Amino acid sequence: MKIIKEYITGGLKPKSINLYLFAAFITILSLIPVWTSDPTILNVFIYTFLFAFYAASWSILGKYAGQISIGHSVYFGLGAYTTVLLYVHYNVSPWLGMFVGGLLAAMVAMLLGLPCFRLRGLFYIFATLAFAEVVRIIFLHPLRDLSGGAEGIPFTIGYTSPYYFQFVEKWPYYYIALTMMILLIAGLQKMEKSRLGYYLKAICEDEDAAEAIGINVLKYKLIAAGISGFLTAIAGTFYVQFLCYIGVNDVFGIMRSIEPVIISWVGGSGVFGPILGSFIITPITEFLVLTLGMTTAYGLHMILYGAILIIIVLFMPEGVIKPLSQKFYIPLLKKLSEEYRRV
Amino acid sequence: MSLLEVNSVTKKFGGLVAINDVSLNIDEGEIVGLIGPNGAGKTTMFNLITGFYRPDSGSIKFMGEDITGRKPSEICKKGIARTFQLIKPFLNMTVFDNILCGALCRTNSVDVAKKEALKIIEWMGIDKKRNALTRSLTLAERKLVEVGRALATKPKLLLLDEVAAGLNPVETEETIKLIRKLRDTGITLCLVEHVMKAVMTVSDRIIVLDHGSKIAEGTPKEVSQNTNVIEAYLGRSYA
Repeated sequence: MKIIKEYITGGLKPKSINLYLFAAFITILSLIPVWTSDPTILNVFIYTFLFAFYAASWSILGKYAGQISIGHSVYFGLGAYTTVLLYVHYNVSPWLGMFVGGLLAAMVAMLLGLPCFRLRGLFYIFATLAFAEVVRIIFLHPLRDLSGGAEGIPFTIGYTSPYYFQFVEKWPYYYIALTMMILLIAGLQKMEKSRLGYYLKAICEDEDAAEAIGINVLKYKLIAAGISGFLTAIAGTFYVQFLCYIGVNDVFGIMRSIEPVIISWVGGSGVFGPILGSFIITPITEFLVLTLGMTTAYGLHMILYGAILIIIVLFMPEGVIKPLSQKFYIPLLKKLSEEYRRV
Repeated sequence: MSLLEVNSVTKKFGGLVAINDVSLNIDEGEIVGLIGPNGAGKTTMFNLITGFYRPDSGSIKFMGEDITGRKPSEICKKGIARTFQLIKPFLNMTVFDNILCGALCRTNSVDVAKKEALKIIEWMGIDKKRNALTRSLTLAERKLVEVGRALATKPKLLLLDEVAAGLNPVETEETIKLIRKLRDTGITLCLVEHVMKAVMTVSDRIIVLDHGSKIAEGTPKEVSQNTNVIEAYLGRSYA
């Protein structure tokens, strides 16, 4: 970045080019439902936005703070179930239930953090994984009456009601998911430049060194876990509202925990890593499920996940975003600012 | 009243007594050298003072306040900063961001911390490397970043763990200058050091540890003539 800044002595700054490009990206995305109402295409985009949101939420704890959790299905499922149960039993609007679920998930994330953040590396990863499985099994059997077990609960109302977060058409979901993603991108960008952002990065780099310069490591990890859990719960709520169905194995399943990890890893770090990751992974998954169906080749997308992950780890260990920005984006920025100067 | 008072502190790791009933004082404005053969307990002492270890018995007071068993981050906020023997700069951050993280200890505002970080970078003379990734620096430069980051937390007492180790003679000279410069800003310093040239020239007072016990204390000259110290370093036949 510095080279570019030195290169450009006046005129268009890379920062504003970034902003323009981002605005163009958003404009194109927001015009897609105008151009087509094909539910298949909109579906792919909705899931892409949603999983970008989910992976970015995960990355607050997993990438920024460096605490690789393979148990985010807990927060995803808790958010989803809280919303649905409040709606089904008490007729509470999912918009409100979403925040109740979010707060509950944040609380659980922080309570789980208290013992687990004392573990490091692999031990932490296994603890989160074990916890997620325990929660899934509790919802599957002891809480069967409440959760609907493996069959789950369908709760469609069959007509469009913004108050109940249900729409017959796809486009409202599309814009809600898009808005969620944009808000999170903006929020993360703000966080990156805040004290919290610097502190999380410091903790990710070296916990002892962070503690030695006055960073209460446990406290900031808990804050990261709380924010991450809250946002994940919101992703969970959107997911089930979109499906109009909730099932234990769907929201609490181990794949739900692994998805954001893979997406973030494929994409890379920073604000746009998980977003890029989702734009690569989610369409592939959706395409496979659509063309092969859930029955004939169920699990094929998992094999593909594995293959992609191997390729990424071998050739781009820091995610797609790094080589992409070095090879294409920075030269592009350079060229754009150059042309602007010539004008 | 001393700035730091360590009162008969003991620390055991299983059967090994790493620090055995050691008391020491550090007065304001001093440069104190903490020396001793390998395994004497110098770094353990640092870890006890900065809260990374909790002493099994004894107490540690800083500015008259008991800080025994406090978290390292709290102790840093009270005004004790440290560097690590195996230095731990944030390698994937720029030099500027490293020092900024330290400066955030005293302020909530990133803008204020940025100004503070710039001041420290200038003061330490690492302005040219400001935007370089710490990963790309030499060992000597990384050590400077580590000191700068500790300095940014505005400590009253700075504990430097082997800052001169592994440096060439020119760099060692620079480090000695830096230590004096630090003292002139009013910071009290305690050094763990194996490079005798460095520790003997800058220290006002030397404390010698051996096998976890304090065996000598005094000016560099007194200590270098002390028979216990010579015995610990070279063996009885030389004492």
